[in-house]
Amino acid sequence: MKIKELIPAQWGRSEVPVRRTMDSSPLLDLQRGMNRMFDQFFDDFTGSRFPESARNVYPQIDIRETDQAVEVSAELPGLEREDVDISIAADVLTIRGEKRQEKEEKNGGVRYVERTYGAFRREIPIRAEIEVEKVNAKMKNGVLTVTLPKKPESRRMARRIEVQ
Amino acid sequence: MAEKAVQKMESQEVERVERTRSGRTFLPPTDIIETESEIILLADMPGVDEKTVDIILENKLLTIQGNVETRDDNNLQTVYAEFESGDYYRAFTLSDDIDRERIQAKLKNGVLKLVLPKAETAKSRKIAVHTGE
Repeated sequence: MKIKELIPAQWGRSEVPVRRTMDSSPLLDLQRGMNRMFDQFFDDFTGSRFPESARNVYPQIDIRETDQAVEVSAELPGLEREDVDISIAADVLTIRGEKRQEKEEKNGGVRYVERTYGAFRREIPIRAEIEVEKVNAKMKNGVLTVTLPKKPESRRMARRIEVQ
Repeated sequence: MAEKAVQKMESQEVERVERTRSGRTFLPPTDIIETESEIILLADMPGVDEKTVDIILENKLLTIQGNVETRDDNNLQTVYAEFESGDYYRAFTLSDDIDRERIQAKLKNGVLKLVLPKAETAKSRKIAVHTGE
């Protein structure tokens, strides 16, 4: 058994069932390939939704908001609740922690590594005023979700304006 | 932390199979560790639990598939996004040297751990050398 044999099924010799009815035309394949290429190109070009500068920062975060609260989520697979340290000071949320290699991984022989390990720290500026005492964090299946309730005065009141 | 891309990689393989769910599909980053007696696969699949993961072994093809519940609820509006959630899909080709009956899978904190024990015949054996007297 060689490690090479575990490397993901290659394009050519995949045993995945492939739909080969209408799509077998080489022209269609080419067109699809071109479309994908263009899509990827324009994604890079317009920056899509991902800021270029943040591509190599770990962990990757999403921030979502309602008028009541701000919710920050991060993907931290393999971390326990205790491994993550979250603090909030004024308007900065700090997520710190360390992803360690598991025991079984340490005494292993040959390895092929793709996952990320190590200590990390991320500071996230929060635009709204937060009720610091009511911040809560949840860790579920490797996804961290921090909910930061806004102070009542900071809630953006959407006011409907009558047109005269 | 090593300088390497942490952005999720989108799966290209999945376009080759028909899917009944919409949304994006990502390749889970996977570590492979080989010891004398087994091969361990560790795949990062945040958001997946033991109920939403499917591991299928068909002939030589081991397929890992994980579905992530979309989080679009309570009128949350995305203000900043670095990652997107989506399903996971990855396939591995196994050789005959794996003891299929004893394959074990565990999922904890979004990490899937697959233990593939080597078949007896495939284990390396140390052969004692005696002096020829």
